Amino acid sequence: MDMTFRRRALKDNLRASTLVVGCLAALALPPHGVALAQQTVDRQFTHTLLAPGIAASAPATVRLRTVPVRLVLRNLVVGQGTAKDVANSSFAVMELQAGHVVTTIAGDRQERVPGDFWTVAKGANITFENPHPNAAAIIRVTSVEATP
Amino acid sequence: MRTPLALPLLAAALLASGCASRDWLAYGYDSKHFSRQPNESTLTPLAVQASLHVNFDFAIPSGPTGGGSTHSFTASPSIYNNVAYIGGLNGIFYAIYGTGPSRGTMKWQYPPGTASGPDACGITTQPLLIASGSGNPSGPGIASSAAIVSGVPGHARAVIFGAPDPTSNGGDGRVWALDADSGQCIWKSPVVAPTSGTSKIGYSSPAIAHNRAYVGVSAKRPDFPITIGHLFAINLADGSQDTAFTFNATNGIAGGGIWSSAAVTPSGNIVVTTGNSCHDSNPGCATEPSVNRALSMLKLDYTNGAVLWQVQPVPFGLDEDPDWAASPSVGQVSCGSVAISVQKDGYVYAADIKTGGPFSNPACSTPGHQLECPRWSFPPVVSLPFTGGLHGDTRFLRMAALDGDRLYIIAGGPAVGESVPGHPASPATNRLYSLNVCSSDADRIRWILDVPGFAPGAPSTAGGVIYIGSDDGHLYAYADTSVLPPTSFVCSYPGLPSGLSCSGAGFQNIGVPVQLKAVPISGSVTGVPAISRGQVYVATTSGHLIGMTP
Repeated sequence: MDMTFRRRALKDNLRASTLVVGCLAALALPPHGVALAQQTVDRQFTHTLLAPGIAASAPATVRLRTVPVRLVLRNLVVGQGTAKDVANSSFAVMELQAGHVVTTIAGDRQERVPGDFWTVAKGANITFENPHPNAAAIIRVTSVEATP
Repeated sequence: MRTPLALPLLAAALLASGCASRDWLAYGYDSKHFSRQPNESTLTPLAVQASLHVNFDFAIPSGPTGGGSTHSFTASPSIYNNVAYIGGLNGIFYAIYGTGPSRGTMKWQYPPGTASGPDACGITTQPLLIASGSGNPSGPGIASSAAIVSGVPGHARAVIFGAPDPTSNGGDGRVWALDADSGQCIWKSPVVAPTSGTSKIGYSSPAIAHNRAYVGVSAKRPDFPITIGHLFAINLADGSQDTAFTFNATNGIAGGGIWSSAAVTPSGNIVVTTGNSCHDSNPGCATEPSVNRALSMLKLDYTNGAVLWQVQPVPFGLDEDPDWAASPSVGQVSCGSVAISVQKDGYVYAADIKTGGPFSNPACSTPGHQLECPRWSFPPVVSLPFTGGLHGDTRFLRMAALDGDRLYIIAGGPAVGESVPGHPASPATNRLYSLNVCSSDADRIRWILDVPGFAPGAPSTAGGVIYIGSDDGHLYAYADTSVLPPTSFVCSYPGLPSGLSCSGAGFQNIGVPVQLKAVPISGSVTGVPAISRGQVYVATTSGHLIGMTP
């Protein structure tokens, strides 16, 4: 199920949710050196091609201390064009940090502007459309996964 | 009779060419701030590649004539008749020979090393410093690049800049005029930035038009506290303030400090950029003031300071300190007259200058605001003002250079605003873009260069060569791709390698200009390389003024 929030309408919700996720991350984030060691991509480049039309940064993992759950933080980046039916394997909160994108989740097509955030259910596919040349839609994804 | 006919023709040709000086008379060449030397024949790409080298290296001297303890240049040099003019954070202004057997030595310094008594400005030998409460690197001495003018009666050329007055309340900010030949003080303006207040003349360099010098003020100690931005008009003839011209960035408690140097439009009006509002740093500033010219690029009527248009992409509520600190480049390109600058969050805006006004556009305005839309932004933005996103201090501070429709500018590009999880150094603040000013968004990027180092200075250009200093102790020269084709490519999105993964993610593989030369120098360059008569001049934060020739 897709739950959509708009900054202009629900600014307080946005701030509260961002605060919660941010606090969780701050409590559990390892030092920078450890986080960097977890990356697998070339040090020079932060992203790899995830699927046609979309790239992703290496995941940064935050393990929660009291429950067998981890947060996985990564950025998705969409250039001009369409990334169709990108698989989403875990429940995720997505936030558009920069750019402009149209998402389609379970047939629901929504325009997103910076500051918008939304949720994507585990197993749902999501299509991203970015009509703008030379502009990236930068989406911060916070996924919640069971600790392996 | 060939000779009588040829002489007037030659004179006419010389007069015409004289309109575009081989000197570099102000910050960014002149008050348009194109940072382009249009009359350069020695610094060809081949000559630069073959032999650009240090011709002289002047270092701020130690000892009693060396002024204050901060031996550093954050201003940029201006050049007239092979002499470089620049003030240092040590509070001393220098005229340095650029050629001949005396190259690299002082023609004069102001204040002088020795004096028998106070001069016309009340100065003996004390450096032009704020005694206390200033902040580096826009103080405590001279950070304002000089303009060299001919409009001061009785003086062939005068040097105009902003600086503290040590004889006035521990460094009240004034505009100063020195004789370019002798270094003697001609006048100092009334106080425009009293030390009793929160402002000083920082980086703002005088923009010269209508026999006036237009200078702005910014926070005395950035940003504790921020100040109210003001722009002043000083009459060149006698240093008096033209009180008919007033520009106040806000009617609130603070906001809109002017860190930049104003530019002059082809019709003589003023374009200026302003710093952040009080929103980000002042707990007592929860409500937007009714007059809010902060975080804006503005066109002002040169006679009275009235706002003719205002571009304000980041609204009050999203102000996380993305000062508009870079100076605008203003003037004619093939598609009209534009004003172009980068905001500190990394977005570049080009606004049509227009004639007349005031103008605003409902599409870019919000209730209570009469704002204008830019012609374009880079990267493209679907609508302005922003309603979200990250707009903070990501250090995009440098003025652009402009050669025809070819813009050279350090900017955020497609990755603007991105913070990559687990990657602490993700903002690419060293990416120099060449942009087509008059193209569509799809064709905007001409080439991309990741300048070595982390924080390059501002670019300048002549004859298809781009010069840029960096914080890694080098002055770099690159060939525009119209001169030499690129031999390598990068992805327009900096997080991806070039090739299929770049194009596969919807980005472009973009050419990289060829490096012609990397000249080792002493210190970091934060300003603009000046180009004059076959020589490139740079000033460094370690207090060196360096000339380079082929």
